[in-house]
Amino acid sequence: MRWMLMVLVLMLMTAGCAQDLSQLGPIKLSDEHKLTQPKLEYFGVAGFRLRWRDEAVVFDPFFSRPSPLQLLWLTPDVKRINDGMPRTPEATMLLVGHAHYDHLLDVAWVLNHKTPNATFYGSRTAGHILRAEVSAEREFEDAEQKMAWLPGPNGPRPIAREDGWFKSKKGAFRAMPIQSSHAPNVTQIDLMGGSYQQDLKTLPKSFRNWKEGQTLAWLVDLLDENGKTVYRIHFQDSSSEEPYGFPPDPGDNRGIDVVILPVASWIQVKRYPQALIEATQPKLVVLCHWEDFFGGDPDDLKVLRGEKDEYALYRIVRTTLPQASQIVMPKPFSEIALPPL
Amino acid sequence: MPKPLVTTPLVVALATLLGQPLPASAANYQTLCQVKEGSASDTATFWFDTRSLCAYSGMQVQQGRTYQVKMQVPDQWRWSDRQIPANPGGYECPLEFPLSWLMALSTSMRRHPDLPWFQTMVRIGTAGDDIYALPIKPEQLLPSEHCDPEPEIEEWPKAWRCPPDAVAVEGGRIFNSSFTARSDGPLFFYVNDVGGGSVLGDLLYRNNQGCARVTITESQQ
Repeated sequence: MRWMLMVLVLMLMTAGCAQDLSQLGPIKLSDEHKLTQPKLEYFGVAGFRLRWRDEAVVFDPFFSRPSPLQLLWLTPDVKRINDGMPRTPEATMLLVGHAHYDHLLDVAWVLNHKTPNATFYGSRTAGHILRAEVSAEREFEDAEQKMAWLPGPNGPRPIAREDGWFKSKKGAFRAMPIQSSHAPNVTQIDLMGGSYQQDLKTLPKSFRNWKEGQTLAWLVDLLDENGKTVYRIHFQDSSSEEPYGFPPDPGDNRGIDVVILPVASWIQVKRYPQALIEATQPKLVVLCHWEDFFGGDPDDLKVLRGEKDEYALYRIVRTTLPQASQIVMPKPFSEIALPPL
Repeated sequence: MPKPLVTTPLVVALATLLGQPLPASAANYQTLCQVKEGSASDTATFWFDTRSLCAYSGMQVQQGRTYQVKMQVPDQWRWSDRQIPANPGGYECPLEFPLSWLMALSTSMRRHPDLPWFQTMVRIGTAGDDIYALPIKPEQLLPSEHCDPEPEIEEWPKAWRCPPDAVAVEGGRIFNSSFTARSDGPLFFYVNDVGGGSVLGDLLYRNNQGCARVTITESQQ
């Protein structure tokens, strides 16, 4: 019975075809390359790399893009990871928002082979999954320990912990995890929720066993040599119900410069991303997780199947942002310049 | 139509169809109740989530000793079984027909059929049957008009979670209780509801709402 349900959900999730780029309407995809720093490098889905001073932070690296038929037998696609992810020994932080396969499947490989000096920061569940492939000597940080938390089930807004920041090894970055939530998928059935309490022996095979765990958003500061914030970035890898994922007030009266937010399942969440944009008023919004990631040719981009009216989301962001602020929807493997100071 | 009117008959029908003796299957505590390594101590303060099938208190108790349990329920974390207002002693208001009949029909499916819905339970050990219904004494009684009309309960977002264990939240109601341990072992908490079996799992615990900051101390008497 469980298998029948899983197959049904799988069929619903991947029903239909990936949509042609014309579905984006007048949105012009950004495709910049060889920009000077500081810049975000986009890997597709919710994956980014950000280099600053002599360190780097990596977010949600995912390259494998298994096809719908592979979702019951998932394995990282090593060739795709090697082709897509540059070796980044200067990366000292690898941040993940939640533990679904399209955010975590490739992380163990990336930690072991691409970012040998990075500490992993994520939920307990994400940590338990990754231990299947990452040795116990490798440093993991339980982000739930420092997570900014909501004082009530409906807010009003996350509260930062006294020691809520993780600092990078050389002091170029600091990152604060924030209690967030995950949008329901198109089926409205929460088959990928749940958590793990113990380390796994092998990576899960079925998509369903990549359990969500605690979903987190991240506030990331780029610091100067004196420890002063130069840029502040808000990153989340799932559409979330307000005020889940909203940045807390870290007590320094500093605003948000860049908001990175996912498009996937946006229509399932009331007032997303309008409420977040109203609360943050950033100079730059980067829209990610907009493209289809169920197999296919990465060079032949498609819009995420089942996703409706991405242009409506774009219009909502545009009308909620200050006029001078920018919106970028990047092509995978392109770059995004951070706004001028 | 109120949601319990839909879900309760559904659960009765499902349980009947699947032939699952729910309270018996709920005895699978070794899977449900897990001790976090390295966390045992002689006193404990933690946030109890009413959705938990078996929440570890972080405390080891010893046979023959008496323990005081203080449960603080802040207003924003007040308890309910979906839309039914509750507190650590059980439902706060008498149920009205037809919900009262439907709930009465499902009493045999509770983990402890002879104890009230939402009664706070403690158990000692991951195995065995050393279970206690905490006698709950509120520090302040509810006003007599509290259930007339019954307070409206808002449905919370699915992603809600209790505050971090280290954080205290001011205000709310305090409920006191105590018990004397009949055995040694780790101490767990849960509310009396339908669940714990291999089929339903925590399905009917997921509609529980509410948290309590629980402090357990050994009685000096």
